[in-house]
Amino acid sequence: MATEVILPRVDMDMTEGRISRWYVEEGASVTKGQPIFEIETEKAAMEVEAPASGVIRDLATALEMKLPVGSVIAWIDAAGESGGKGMRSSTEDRAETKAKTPTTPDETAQYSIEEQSAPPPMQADHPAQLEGDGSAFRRATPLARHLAREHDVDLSSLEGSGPKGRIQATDVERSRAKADAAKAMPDRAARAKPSGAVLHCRWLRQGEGVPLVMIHGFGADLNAWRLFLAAARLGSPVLGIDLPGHGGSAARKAPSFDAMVAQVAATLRAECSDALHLAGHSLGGAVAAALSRHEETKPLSLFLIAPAGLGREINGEFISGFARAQSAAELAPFLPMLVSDPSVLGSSFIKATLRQRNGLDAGLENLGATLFPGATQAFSIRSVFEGLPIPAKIVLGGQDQIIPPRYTSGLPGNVAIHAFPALGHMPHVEAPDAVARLLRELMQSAAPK
Amino acid sequence: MSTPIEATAILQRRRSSVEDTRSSGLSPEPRELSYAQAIQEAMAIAMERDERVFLMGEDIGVYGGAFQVTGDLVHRFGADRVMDTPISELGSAGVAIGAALTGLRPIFEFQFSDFSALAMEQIVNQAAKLRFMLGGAVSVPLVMRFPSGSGTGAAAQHSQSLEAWFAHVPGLKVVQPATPHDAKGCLLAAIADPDPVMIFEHKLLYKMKGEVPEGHYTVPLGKARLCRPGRDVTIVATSIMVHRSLAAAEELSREGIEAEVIDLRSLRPLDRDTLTQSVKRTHRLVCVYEGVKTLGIGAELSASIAESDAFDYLDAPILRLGGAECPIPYNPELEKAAVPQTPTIIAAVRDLIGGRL
Amino acid sequence: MGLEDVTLREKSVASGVRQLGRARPQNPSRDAVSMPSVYRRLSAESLRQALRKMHLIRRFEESAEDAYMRGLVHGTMHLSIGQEASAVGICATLEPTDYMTSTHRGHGHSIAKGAQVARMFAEFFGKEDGYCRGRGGSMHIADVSTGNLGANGIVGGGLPIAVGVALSMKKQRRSCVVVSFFGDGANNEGAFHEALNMASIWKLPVVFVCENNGYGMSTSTERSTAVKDVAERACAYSMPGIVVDGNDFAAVAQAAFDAVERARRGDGPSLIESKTYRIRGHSRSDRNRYRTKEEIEAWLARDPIVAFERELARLGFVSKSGIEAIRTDVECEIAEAIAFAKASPAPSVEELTRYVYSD
Repeated sequence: MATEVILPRVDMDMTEGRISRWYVEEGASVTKGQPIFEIETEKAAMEVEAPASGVIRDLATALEMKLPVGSVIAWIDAAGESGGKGMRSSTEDRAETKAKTPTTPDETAQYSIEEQSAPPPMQADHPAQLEGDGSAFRRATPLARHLAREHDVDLSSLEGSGPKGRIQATDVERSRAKADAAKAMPDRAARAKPSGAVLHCRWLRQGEGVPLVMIHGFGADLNAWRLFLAAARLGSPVLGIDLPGHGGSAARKAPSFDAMVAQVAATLRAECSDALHLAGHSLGGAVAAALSRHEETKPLSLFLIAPAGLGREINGEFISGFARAQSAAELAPFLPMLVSDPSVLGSSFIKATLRQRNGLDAGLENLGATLFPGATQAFSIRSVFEGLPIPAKIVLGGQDQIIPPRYTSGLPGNVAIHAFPALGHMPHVEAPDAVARLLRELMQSAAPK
Repeated sequence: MSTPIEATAILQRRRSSVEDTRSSGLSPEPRELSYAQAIQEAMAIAMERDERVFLMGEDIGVYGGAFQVTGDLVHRFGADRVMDTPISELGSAGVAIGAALTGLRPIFEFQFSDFSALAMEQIVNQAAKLRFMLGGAVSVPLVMRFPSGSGTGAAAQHSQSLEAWFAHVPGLKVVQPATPHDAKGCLLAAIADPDPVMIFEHKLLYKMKGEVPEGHYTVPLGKARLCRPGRDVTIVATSIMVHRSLAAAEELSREGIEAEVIDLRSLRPLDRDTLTQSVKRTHRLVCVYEGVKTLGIGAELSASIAESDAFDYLDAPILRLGGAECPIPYNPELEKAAVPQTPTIIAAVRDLIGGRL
Repeated sequence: MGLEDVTLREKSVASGVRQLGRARPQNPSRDAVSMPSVYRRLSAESLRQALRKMHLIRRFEESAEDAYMRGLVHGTMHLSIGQEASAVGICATLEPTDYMTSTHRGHGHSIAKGAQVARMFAEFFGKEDGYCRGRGGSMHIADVSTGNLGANGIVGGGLPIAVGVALSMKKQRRSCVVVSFFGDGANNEGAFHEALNMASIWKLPVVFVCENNGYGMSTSTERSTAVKDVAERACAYSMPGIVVDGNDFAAVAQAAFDAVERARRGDGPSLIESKTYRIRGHSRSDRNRYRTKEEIEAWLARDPIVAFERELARLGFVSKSGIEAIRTDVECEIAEAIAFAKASPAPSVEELTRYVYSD
């Protein structure tokens, strides 16, 4: 039976929207839960997942056209209706599809200029160019060469994201996507640099001006910012980063806090070497703070929400239990620890949290054990604030059950502390408007003249 | 040897009873047998159908074989057709070849595959080459069975995986069934084959149970089996490594890595086509086998891909997971470490997918 | 081995080894009363055919050697010049349906069992009409139609196979006998011992024929073998062991008759040690550093063909002109065979891998 794919309402006051891009092509195999297209609303770009598994067809490909909420924009044929359970009848056909059509979220991301994902170079100091004969021979996989030949891409213009700088298929595909996007959106393309990004990251919002980089907390991913951004009404572009062991960087490992900071720094260097604003929540707040003193990152401002790294204790039960939770039921006991009013964490939050677990739970647990051994915080950011040359704000909730709010006492006077007495560990979720205002004010105050 | 007349009489009785069973109705009910039982059933069916078929080996008669594969067959078919040989691997291998050259269909059991080293002359210089050397004037319809592999604590001289030695010899066919179904089907195909077929049976598989159809059927020699489709990496494995690879694939699936698992089944002839097609879909290849890694099966598989049309589809280096560069040790932990295990496969695939290789 | 060894016989009787042949083989004069019994068993025509075959073997090998020196033959060859009586004496007692496995020095065995020299030359020349379609060469001549399962490049390689063939005959209740030729070198291979043991425990119809020409390549039997006579090994496997003068057709044939009959009766295998000598070196690359000119000349004086001819003439089986006719006939056959072989097509390179497996 075919399942219809509709343009959903993703915002309270939304009546119509437009598809900003499809992640899949006509006839692709999709699995339930896989993001298949993106909606652009007044406030933010939102991903929409496939409502069923099967082969997608009749895509409404007219982008930019405003459509009423509830319009049917595609159909998904269940397995058997056309060509079986996602397996192509012809292997050639499948190989072709793989090369041209993304079928997984990660691959999809590689086609977008807004979404850039790449496995990290393990040894970034190895150039893709092979040593020895002085020629322009580049280290590249056979598939990358094949694709480059097929699509007339010059390998010497690429940076390899693979080990030893090896150019992989993803690098060629990303390059093609950028070339396509450059035609459509020259301004964005001009800013985008060839990427050797260590971590998965994604442009969560388009806009003008200095970009804001947002770093999520432990156990979340960059999608955690979407609700906040919907309310924040920021004018600037927003880049979300997935920390190692999280989201699109699930396969990445960070042996220490410093290593994690270094990976984020490398990512920022590749993604937006211009001026930027930094914001982070909890663990991400600590990373952002550390980055403000990193030699290669030059933020204009620092916005920390319930940051880690200010004191010794942390809620160990939460760290281990939250990381281990595999279902909504298992997650339920930990939600009240995050917020004073659990009802604000709707099903979308739970769903998003569980979705990013899709895999490396053990990795998350291990990361938890590395960063927070025995209910303590293994790193400190207190030294960051002494003589910090940029404006910084810390926002926290007085009822925070994860990180004791008392740790903000004793920080230098150049740091603004905004404490919401009734809120918990996620003030930006419980009071998005108020927190967003604080963020906008900070960014405006720090805007380049 | 007792007189062959008795054996023939028994044989005729058996045959008619089999036909009775067949005509009385098919039994489509799925039925489980162990790998060893499946082999025994194949041998019994072959002997019932064809009086040229007989078994040779050390202690395969009343003892039932070192791994009880022949079991009670001696009581059903007589000592003429389930022949105990002296401990003379070289000589008895030659006897089997001579019998095969002149109208019989011997199935020869090595007690342990390691002992085949004693018989290499006859297998490699005679069985494999006679047809060719004589310009096609003869053929050698010989089946040899090799209980092989590690994991039994039997140490260096009773645990080897020597299949690649034999697969290196044109004139031999070499198969490694991984399931009870294939063990029976491959053996029946081998018996029907006009050329010498070497069947390598992993000793740890003998007790493994699986669905085995009744009656006579064959599994084509030289055709690999796609056990599990996947999009991210092709794991090609042999024998017991098929099961370890499938377990690894399940685990990896929980991490979002979908591995395609291919049971190679046959080393010679080698089904390069199935492998090539798979690699073109997944862009990555991991070869898993128990024999020593260096200059082993994985080298051939890797090179086959490198030489093939699939080369242009590779997006990562090809990995080989094989036996360590040492004889199989006695200590159980060392023994495990000497050959690929499920966690080894998982870790290797993670590294490959994670871009660490 | 030296000439004396052939004449020293009495002692080994004690070890269960019988001897057949003359006490003084260098003295061939005999009267009609002492005519060997095999001469009565074989017809006059059979005896003349035996002589013809010995000539054919000799001329085949001499011509092959000549062709080799002219560059017509690729690789090497192992000549049995001087051993003809052994090959022909054994095979004279066999039926066409009986089987034989042979050795790397097997041209004589093949011709004795009935192979055509034309197809053998064609094989030597690597041609498609050769017995192995040019794939086997000198060391693998086989002619399945005459029960000849082939020469063998591996010392001792044919012994277990012969036992298997005998097992096959017994299981199929066919009355065929299997002869397995091997050299003195093979008697120290494990395959020899395993094969004899199995043939004996299963009472199989095999005749093991050790052609002891004194040397395994360069190593003499004295240096390589713990027993004086290879035939002594038979007692370890509970079978008759017999030593014969391999250059004496009648002695060889007599022993073979006994062994073949025993095998056909179902009484099991026998071991015949046929003491002989190869006049040529081990192969074409042999420089003869391990034996003396005197030793070779002494054996040349005992040429088996000359001796057989004389005896047949003396006993009236063949006339002088009859011998001449045989020689001329053989020359013609050799010339025609070489012409046939030269004219035969070479195998196609496209068929390089054909015959590896059954089609």
